Amino acid sequence: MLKNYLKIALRNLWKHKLFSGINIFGLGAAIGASLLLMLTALQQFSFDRFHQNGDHIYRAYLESYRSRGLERGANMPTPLQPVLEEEIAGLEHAIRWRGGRAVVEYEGERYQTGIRYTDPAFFQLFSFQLLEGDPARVLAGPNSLVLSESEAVKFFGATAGIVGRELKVITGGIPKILQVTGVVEDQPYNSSLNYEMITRYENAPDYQEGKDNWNNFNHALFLQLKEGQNPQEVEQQLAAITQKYFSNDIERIEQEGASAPDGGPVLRLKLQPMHELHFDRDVSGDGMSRAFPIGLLIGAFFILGIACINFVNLTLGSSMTRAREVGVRKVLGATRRQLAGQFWGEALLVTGLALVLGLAASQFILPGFNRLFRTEIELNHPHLFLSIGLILIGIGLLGGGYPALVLSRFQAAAVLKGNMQGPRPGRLRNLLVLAQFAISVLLISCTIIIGQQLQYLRHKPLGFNKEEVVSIPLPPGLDAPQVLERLRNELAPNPRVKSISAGYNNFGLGMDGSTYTSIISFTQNEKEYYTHWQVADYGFTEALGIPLVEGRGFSKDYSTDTVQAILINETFARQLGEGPYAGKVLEMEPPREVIGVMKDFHFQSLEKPIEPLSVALARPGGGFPMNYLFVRISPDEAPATMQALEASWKAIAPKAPFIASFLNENTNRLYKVEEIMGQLFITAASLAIILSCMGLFGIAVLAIGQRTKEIGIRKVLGASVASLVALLSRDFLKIVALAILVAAPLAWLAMQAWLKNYAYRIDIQWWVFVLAGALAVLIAFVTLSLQSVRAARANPVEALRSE
Amino acid sequence: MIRTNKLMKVYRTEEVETTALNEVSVEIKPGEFVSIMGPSGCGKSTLLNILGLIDNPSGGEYHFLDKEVSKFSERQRSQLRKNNIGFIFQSFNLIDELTVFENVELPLIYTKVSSSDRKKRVDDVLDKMNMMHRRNHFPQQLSGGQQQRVAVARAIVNNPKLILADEPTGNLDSANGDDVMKNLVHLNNEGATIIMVTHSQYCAEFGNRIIRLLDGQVVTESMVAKQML
Repeated sequence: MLKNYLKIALRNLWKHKLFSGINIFGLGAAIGASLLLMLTALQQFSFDRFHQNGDHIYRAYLESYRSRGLERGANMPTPLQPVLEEEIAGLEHAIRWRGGRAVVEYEGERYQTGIRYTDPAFFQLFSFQLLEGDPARVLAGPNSLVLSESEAVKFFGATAGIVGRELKVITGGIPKILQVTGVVEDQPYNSSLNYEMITRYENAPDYQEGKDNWNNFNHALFLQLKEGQNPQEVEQQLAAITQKYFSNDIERIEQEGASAPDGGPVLRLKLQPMHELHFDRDVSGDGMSRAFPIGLLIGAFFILGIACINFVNLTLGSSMTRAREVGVRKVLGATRRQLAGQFWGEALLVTGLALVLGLAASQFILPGFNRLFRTEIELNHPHLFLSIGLILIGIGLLGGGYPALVLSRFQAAAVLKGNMQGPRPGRLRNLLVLAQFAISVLLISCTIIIGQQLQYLRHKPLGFNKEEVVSIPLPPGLDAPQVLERLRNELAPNPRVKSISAGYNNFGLGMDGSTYTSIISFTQNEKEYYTHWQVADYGFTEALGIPLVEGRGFSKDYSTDTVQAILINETFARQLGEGPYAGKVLEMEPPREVIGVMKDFHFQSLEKPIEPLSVALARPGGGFPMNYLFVRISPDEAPATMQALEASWKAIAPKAPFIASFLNENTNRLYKVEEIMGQLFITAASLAIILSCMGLFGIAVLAIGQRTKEIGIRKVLGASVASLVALLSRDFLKIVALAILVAAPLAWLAMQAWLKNYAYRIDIQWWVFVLAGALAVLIAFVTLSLQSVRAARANPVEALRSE
Repeated sequence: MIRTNKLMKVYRTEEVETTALNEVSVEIKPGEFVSIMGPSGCGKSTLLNILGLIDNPSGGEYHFLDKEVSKFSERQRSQLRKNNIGFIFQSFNLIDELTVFENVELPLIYTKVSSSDRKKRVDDVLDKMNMMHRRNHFPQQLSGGQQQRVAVARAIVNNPKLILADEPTGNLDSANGDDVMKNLVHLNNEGATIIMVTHSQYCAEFGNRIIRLLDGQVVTESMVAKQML
């Protein structure tokens, strides 16, 4: 019986090549694409879930009810960790985690790299795989150093047999000899924590100053609770700790007149589950928006849905050709269940073929996909089987099940008498076509809007010169003021180098892949202020083209500028009350005198509004080193200028890498996720519209085939080709038009929600939907014309005879 | 073998009610060859479909092999049908995607006959119908007469007690038609009960008895004088 089914299924596929092709290739493309989309999304959801103790790991964060609103932050003061280990019951481990930059000297070469400072229990708490070393002991010694696999290979060319080797590591200008005690596998793609080298927390350059300082919040704190320990109970214990050790902060907040809405404490130490880190936008604010993977899943579902709809429509549409077979089989004794099984089996066969095709296609495009979208998905992933299962069940049940039920319901007597009409093409088919085009229009509109927002993010003037300024990371081992001075002298004769300065923070995301910001707070007139903190060299505002709205910039003419002077931005100035601001003294430590007000500029991603910012001059030992050089060059002959710059750099700092990038590249890098999302949406939208049109074409072939006689009669009576094409296309175009009306509000709602992630965003324009709709109508019309023009131009006698 | 009592079939659409069969009572004994005649729309095919258990009556009784089957479910009817009844249609109703062999094999598959047994029985019946040389052809590659011979082979491969033929010669020329009729008579002589719907007086007279229908009612029943074949 199965053999019989298989035979007839294959012969049917071959007989109806057009529809089989649409189904198999359409489904194959849809499966391939949605597989990649699903895996990408599932990978995002898998972040930080690989730790064996994952269910018991939490990140501590502070929640403070300020007069300006609720604030959350995950940075903790250094003395907190030992206190927690001492005073909290139910705690397995608590570890600090802090990142920094380091220069490694090895065999006469200098390498710039990242370094992480943590506590000895790190490898017991997290499940990063040690290739060398024992998790419990690898960070036991004060000078322990665990290298990532890549770093180990970089320095020693191997991961084995290097335990005991020494490296000279320079952090914060201080060289230290550290001993390799272990090698750890590079962190998996889906880890929020990343590392190159890991050493003891005590090796952080400012550890001694910070170890008893409860006011310096500079690292993350991870807690592993004991098995079965309720996190709420721990939070209750943490409330007592907060009262005891953060009393100064609590007092200050309460002085502002702030209070928690529930009447509870204004400062709370709380726990955030480890696996929420990746999507966290409340506490540290740099997490990924869940909209991204959810959007991908919806996209995958949509594409599969469209291919399924083609399947249902084409199967139902061509079911008349199978009606007689159903009748005969029934007469010969087939039960309804057997028949439904047969057609369902055929659907599964088509799905299976499509699946093979889709898998092959996705395997083929996977390397390119990973490169393009910076993902690291693999097809041998356990998620794959989940995805395939979902696809098979989805298509098999929905796409194959319904037509199977309809076909098996045919009445034998009626069908064999030959007076049976197939299922009316009517409502269901139209509804499904409507759904397809609604999805297509939805995706097209979203693509346009995402593209517009990305354009906007990239091209919005940020208030500083991002086109002409190059940023170069300064390795920590270098004497920044000296490098600056020498570079200025070397490049002084070059007319294309306009200005050179330096700063603590970069603008955007540089080639070293890091961005960070420091926030300081102070109290003035019983009010607490906080401001982002930038430290810079002379000529900072000039080099970056930031206009001053009041006062002056830093100047060597004023000897007090190095310790007292401060520049603030307009946002900060407004918080300080009435102007003029120049001359105002701020009660910082040490007190600072405002010498000028900078016009507001976007020093952070456009996701965030402009916040208060202060810029002070760097001074030796000030705690804020100059990490980045900013060089403003003339736009003409930029490559030659860059070469000159590199040559001077090599002369001054021969061992330091030259990794320069324009600031607009840096700021664009901030919107990588948006860019990837945009590209994925374009891909999904294109695929959706292509699949919808394939389906529409198939339906048009069927529908026009059923009207052959009508077309013949109309032609005999004098109808023109154009009027016939219009007649044949009209019904479908009406559906497409209706689809636009359905999709536009949905797209508007979805995009409105997405745009809320950005402090600076575009307004959605009405014409986007008109454009998307017009595009859909045009593409649909061209598709329909392929078939309707042919039918309308055919010799009418042919049409009448064939009837 | 077959007895109906006041069999009714009424088709209802939203506005029209059409009575296809109106209190039809017939009795057919094992071994009979009964022809049903009447003008188009008189209910011949409806009656045949009900007798063949591919349609349900709206009222009355239908006894098939001493069972009252008018209220049988589709499943029960299917069971009875595949074991006892063979069908021959005017338009042959072969499945285009299956070969001659596979078409004839189909009823055996549904009655779960083993593969080796199937092969033997299909080959036997194809041989009997003189179609062995065409066993691997597809229906479109055959003439109308050959297609109907395949259809007959398929109808009898299960050795049914009852063969129902709906205008079996309607799509054939006279030579092929005669051929089919001779085959039916032969089967009847071997013991099969045959009920045939036809427009043709000539064909009807191949049977033993003619039932004439008009507007859903039996108007006459007459015996046929024995033909010399």
